[in-house]
Amino acid sequence: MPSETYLFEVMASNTRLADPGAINAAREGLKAVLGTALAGELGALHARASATALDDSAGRGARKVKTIALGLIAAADPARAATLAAAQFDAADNMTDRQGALMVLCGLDHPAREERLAAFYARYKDNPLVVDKWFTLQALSLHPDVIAQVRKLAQHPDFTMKNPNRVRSLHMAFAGNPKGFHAATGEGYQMVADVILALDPINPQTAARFVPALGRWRRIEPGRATLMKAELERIMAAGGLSRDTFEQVSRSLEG
Amino acid sequence: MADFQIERHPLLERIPHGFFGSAGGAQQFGFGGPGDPADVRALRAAAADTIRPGGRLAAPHQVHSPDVVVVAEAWDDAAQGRPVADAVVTATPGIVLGIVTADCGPILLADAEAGVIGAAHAGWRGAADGVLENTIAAMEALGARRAQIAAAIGPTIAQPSYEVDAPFRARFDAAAERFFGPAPPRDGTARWHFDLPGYIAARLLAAGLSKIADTGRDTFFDVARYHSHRRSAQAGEANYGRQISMIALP
Repeated sequence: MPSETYLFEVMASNTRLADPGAINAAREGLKAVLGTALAGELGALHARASATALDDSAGRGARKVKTIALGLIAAADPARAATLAAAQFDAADNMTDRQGALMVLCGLDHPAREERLAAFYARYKDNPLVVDKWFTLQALSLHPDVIAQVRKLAQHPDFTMKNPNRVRSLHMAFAGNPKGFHAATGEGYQMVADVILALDPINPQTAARFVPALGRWRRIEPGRATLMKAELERIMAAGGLSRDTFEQVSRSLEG
Repeated sequence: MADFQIERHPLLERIPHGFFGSAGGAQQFGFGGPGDPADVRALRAAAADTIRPGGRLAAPHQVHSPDVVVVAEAWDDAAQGRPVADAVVTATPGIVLGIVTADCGPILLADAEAGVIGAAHAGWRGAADGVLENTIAAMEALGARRAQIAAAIGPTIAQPSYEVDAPFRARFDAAAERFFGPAPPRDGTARWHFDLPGYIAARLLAAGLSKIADTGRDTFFDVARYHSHRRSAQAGEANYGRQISMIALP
């Protein structure tokens, strides 16, 4: 399935503007249609792929297929997907399966989500690279409350603005989450602008790397474009910016 | 004469230079791109003349290599027969160095005091293979001093537009991890957004440069202003245009 970045390009051609909300809804809608129409086939495919445990290219392919099937099932029938994903998580003997299951669970409003997230964290809490993944899975999720969840994760004892890897794993992942970042309320833009302001005195290079995401307002529908531009203006008005951030923000505004 | 869309960076204010745009897709500066080579040649000559009246263009045949050519005399700017390299440097007034790009980074460099300039083409491969470090070394050989060299990164594909997969990421070592921002997984596989201008800036910094700027222009995203290889490929176009970046001694 094409990425949202690609669909954005197609939609925003010539003088037309892109509507990230409509793109996300249409893409998720198509997944739901496929998940419904192929409900039986996808379930059978997931079961068949789950029976392949070889650690060779066939096994790796099977794990990929499982994740795709689960994603489509989740779009059509969240409760069924949660049950399948939780079972996949519990039966997993490898990181890919655990991560694939958790990725699907992260987007679902289901008790299995919190339980498996906690289990994953408890298992890997001493491994910083995997904890980064744990933050990323949640920041990229399709969950309707992803913004509140990311805000809460920023208060987690393992999160610090002083660790650039952690900042990327949570905040940059969120900036790459089309659903959360482009929330129609503008809360996603506001959160990224807050990150830029908070990070700039600590790590200006990394702070500046967040600006291009907000700088794309020109080709977005007027409602969101206004909100994005307002956040860039808020950053400028804060004053005392690093040279890197100042330059990126001023160029994003000037055209 | 053509009406050019030129962006300049204050870091190179004492040096004639410019990052040319596509003027809404109307201008295409690469011999590898669409259009009659005679028209491309004429457009490139007019652009060079805008940067330095009477200047002669020296733009190499680019192949994503780490190779640099030291230019003492310009060559015939034709579709065939130009030196094969991905960077050019000179200390000779009257020569206009040029680099064409369409997502890769054009980097213009100058030690204004020593009177030495350079232009480099750095995609991920060229940057990883050392084209920037080689350009700086070639400038030093002409009398530039590393601490005095200013470098401006022109329009290039920006991180939110540059989705990559695990095989791409595997080409880089752990130290480059910071240039990969997590992106939504697709087709059952993990994805990242690669920060090419950030990677280029970090290579320049590690090479001992301190005056580094990024114009912050996204070629993929800014349709009205730039050509983009990735955008053309996604649209299924057979070929793609290039923009040009130029620098000359005053």
